Amino acid sequence: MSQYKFSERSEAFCQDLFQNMFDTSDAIYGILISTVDGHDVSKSFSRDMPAAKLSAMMSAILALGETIAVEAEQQQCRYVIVENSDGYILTLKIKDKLILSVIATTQANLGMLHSVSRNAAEKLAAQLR
Amino acid sequence: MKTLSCKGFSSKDQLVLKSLIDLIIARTSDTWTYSDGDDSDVVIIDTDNLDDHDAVFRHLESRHTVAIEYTSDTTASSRLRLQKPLRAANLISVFNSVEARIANAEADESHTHDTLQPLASQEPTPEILTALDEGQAKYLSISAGDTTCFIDLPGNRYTCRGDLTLPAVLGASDRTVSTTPQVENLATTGEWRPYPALRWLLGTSLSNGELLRGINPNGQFKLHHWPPAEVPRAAPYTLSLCALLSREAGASIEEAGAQSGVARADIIGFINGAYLARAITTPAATKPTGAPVATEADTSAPSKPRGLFGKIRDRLMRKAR
Amino acid sequence: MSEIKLIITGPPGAGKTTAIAAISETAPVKTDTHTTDDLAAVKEQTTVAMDFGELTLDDGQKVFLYGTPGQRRFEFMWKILVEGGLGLIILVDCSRPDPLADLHMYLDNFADFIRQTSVVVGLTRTDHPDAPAVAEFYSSIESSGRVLPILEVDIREREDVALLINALVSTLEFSR
Ligand SMILES: Nc1nc2c(ncn2[C@@H]2O[C@H](COP(=O)(O)OP(=O)(O)OP(=O)(O)O)[C@@H](O)[C@H]2O)c(=O)[nH]1
Ligand SMILES: [Mg+2]
Repeated sequence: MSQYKFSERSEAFCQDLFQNMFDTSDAIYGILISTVDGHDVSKSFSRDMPAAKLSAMMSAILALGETIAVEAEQQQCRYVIVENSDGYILTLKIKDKLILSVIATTQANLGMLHSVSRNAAEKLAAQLR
Repeated sequence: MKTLSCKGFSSKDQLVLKSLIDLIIARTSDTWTYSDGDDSDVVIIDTDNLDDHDAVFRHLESRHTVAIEYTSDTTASSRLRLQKPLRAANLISVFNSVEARIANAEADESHTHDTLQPLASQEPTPEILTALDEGQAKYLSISAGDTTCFIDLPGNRYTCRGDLTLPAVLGASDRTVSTTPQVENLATTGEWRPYPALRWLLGTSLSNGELLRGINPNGQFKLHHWPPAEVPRAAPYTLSLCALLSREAGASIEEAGAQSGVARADIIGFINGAYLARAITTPAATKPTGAPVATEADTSAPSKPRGLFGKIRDRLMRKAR
Repeated sequence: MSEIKLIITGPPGAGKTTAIAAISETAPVKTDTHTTDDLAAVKEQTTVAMDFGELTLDDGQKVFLYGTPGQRRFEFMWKILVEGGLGLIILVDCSRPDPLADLHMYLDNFADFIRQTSVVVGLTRTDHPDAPAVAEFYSSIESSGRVLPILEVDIREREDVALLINALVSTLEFSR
């Protein structure tokens, strides 16, 4: 099975970046990079979660978000956010073929979570070409 | 020019009839027009909608008008009948019979209504099909217009000489059918062509409402596999029959007719096709005791036709629980 | 008026998205993304959430068609999509290595849904040199005791998609 895989350098870059994100907010407890068609590529979880399954689900929900935006005649879906009683899950496109998901407790401020995620996605997009 | 009118029809059925007549003019040897007048050659009577239809029939017959009943009733009847819902194929076969009646009536002025058979059944095709199936005849030859098709049943293949396709020849009203020990001039007919739907199509087009020899009509028929897609593509009513006959317990001819609304002749054609294709279990032969066979269809109350919407309601109710 | 919801499933590349696009009256809703794995050799895009299309019957009744993702990792969507469905169409791509196993995989995974509703099988790409004959599909399901409609179709043709839906509706109406 040929799958999208990071080079060692890219993987190291990701892990550094993930560490930075954790340092910025202790509400964040999971960061996941996956392909648009639902394979996991890189992750850092401080709690146990099924990365493969989450990757498939994140790709589905982001694709749905983008499709819903089109149906409702809105432009450019930036994030899909799942807001729960005890946490947030935020998903966004990094570039063409990759997506980033950030999982946090409600201790996080949603605005802050947005900006941390957007920032990370931009850095990843610049690094991974 | 022959004229046709109807009595007791809903306005929707009347509209369907008129448009089918338009279509049929191109397919039969005679020309028919729809008339609203009182003295047409043929009258189709919706007997489900008229209480006094017996009187209407008597009146028309006394005038030597051909009367056809139009009904959802599937029990046997001596009248010319069009089964509901109205279908082009049924209309064509009934009209073939009517034309025979009128032709005979013209030839023989002292005519009474009892001697005439539907034209189509003058072709003994079910016997021919059985003979082929049992290897007593070699090839089937079917001609229409200037096209002749030869069918090699054991080989499930055919070859044609002429411009028409095999389905067109099978569907032609002026086709002739016979068996032949050899295909003359194979060179001019071109290659043998394999045709997986062949046996099914022979059944649906050449049965003339008669079961093949040896098939017991009383009891449950059970389908094992569905026909190739060409069969329902050419005759969508076969889908209902496939579904009915695929039930775990199968279905009798009567049940299939009552529930699907498909004409008995079409059901029989389909069963013949499935039988030739080895796709159906037919009822065991009845014991030769002479005792009348009490078929399940006779004893059980006919089940009510369940429309798709009934199904949806059932399903929604099941979900709500 | 009640809604009629039908579901189309089957392996990746069998033509679920193609079928819905062929028959839907409205622009189909697609959630196809780039393929990034082996499947990329077969096609550039794959469905990750669902396909959606609709048909209106003469009386105004709507029929909604939902296509599932074909790939196994999207199994969670299968359960979501069959909710409230009336029947299932399984498309099987006969050019794949083991189409019979593919069929059984979907029959097994949708077994609960099929038990409550009905199923029709559409065989696609049957012109492939290694495609099993229809008879092989029938004999492989014989032991289940059920007679499933199995029809060879060109799923790119609207008529053939309609034929499958028609067969499914007939089965719902008369076979149960
Ligand atoms: N050559 C050929 N191509 C076909 C035939 N039937 C379908 N296709 C093509 O096969 C492809 C099917 O792709 P999709 O409709 O995306 O398949 P899908 O089932 O939605 O796949 P996933 O979403 O990945 O599960 C399309 O490009 C069709 O045009 C056929 O009979 N012959
Ligand atoms: Mg798809």
